[in-house]
Amino acid sequence: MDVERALQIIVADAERGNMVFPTHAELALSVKRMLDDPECAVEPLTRLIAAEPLLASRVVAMANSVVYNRSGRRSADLRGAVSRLGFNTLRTLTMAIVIGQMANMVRDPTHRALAARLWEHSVHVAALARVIASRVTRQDPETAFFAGIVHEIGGFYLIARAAAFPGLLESDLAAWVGEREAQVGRFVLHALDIPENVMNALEVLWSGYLAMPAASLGDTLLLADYLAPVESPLAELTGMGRRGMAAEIEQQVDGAELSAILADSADEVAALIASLKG
Amino acid sequence: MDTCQLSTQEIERLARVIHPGAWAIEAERPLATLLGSCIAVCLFDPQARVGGINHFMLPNIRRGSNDDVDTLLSGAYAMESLLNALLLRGAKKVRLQAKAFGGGTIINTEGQAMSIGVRNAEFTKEWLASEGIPLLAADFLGPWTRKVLFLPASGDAFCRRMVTNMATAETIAREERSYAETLLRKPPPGERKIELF
Repeated sequence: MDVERALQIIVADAERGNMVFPTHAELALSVKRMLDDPECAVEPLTRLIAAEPLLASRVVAMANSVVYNRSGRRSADLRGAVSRLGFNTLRTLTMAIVIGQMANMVRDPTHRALAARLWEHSVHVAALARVIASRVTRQDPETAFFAGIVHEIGGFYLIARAAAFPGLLESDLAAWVGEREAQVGRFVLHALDIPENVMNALEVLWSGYLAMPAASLGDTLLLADYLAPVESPLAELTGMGRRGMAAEIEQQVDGAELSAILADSADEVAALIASLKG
Repeated sequence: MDTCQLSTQEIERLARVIHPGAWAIEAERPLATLLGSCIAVCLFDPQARVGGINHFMLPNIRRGSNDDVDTLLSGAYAMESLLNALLLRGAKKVRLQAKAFGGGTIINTEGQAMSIGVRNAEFTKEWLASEGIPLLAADFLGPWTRKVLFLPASGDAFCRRMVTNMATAETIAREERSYAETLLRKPPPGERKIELF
């Protein structure tokens, strides 16, 4: 298996705009386009979301989670849920549907399992990034949440294209880390018209340099990636995995320790993960 | 040179590289070091705006001998060299802040090799605590090589966990082994400069 050659072809495909979004993600992508429109209004948005049952159910579940519903009063009203969550959270949920469907369209059972684990990893990173942004780095929590959901989109593209390169995902993929991952990620995210601040955060993630203590949105994402209990399966294939070893990352936040803050936020993280997974 | 505005790629390009067993203080120029099982500690005084970095490891302990004491003295020597140099440049000990990195296991994942990183990390935390220097951020242990960048004028530090391929691991391990051997060669009595009270 010529890994370098295969990765070159995959990068070139992404550059040509040869995307791998499933046809049934079209409705979710329409919702995202409506959300990106500055004139977007709640009524037509609610109607469009109602036409995509999976998205509608996630929107209601998320609006009822402890993170967005401190009163604890549950409601099945979609319009109320849309208003409560706000457009930024809806954009994250919409992208979560699109990426989840990208993972589901993989046919090869082994690759499908990899995609499922990558999705699980993305969900954990998104939930942690939201909490870290809110309690540690003081970044916008919703932007961090969104960035966490899309941070492995290049990896999903790689897995979706791997069927054309037998043996690729069984090879040493060290060459994927860094520039190749960044190139594919940039092309796919550009096709999805991802905001510039999220793109900048992903550039920090791809560079691999974490400011210590973490401060920026990119640091928020990288720190969440390091702390996620479910590792990316691509980390194992590229040699970046933990290999079962303990790692210790710590920082002071206004006199408190990062680990204590995260332990204190475990319920919030669990609620976000549950809402994203449906 | 306003190093705060530089990208990490530019910082890496401009940085002076610190090798195992060394320490350095610079006014402006970024400092960088590549770590395997060694530790790098960045010390910084935010008021005097002076900072430096070291790169050290503890020599192997041979149980049942008096080398435990020598081991700790060796680690303390690495820390005190940097500390004293910073004090000479106008830093005040009460204002110093620390960031520390390393203690990875990059070649042999057997028990003893893993414990080297743990021991180095534990020593660092204990030494800083005993000196009353707050550890603001740390990234220790795991299977990674780490590249650390430090801006001595601002105290900013960046750490990158890196894939350790066999060739890189061999090179880093060879450098660290060579440094570890120098630690095991005891200096002649005249050269022992640390006094115990």
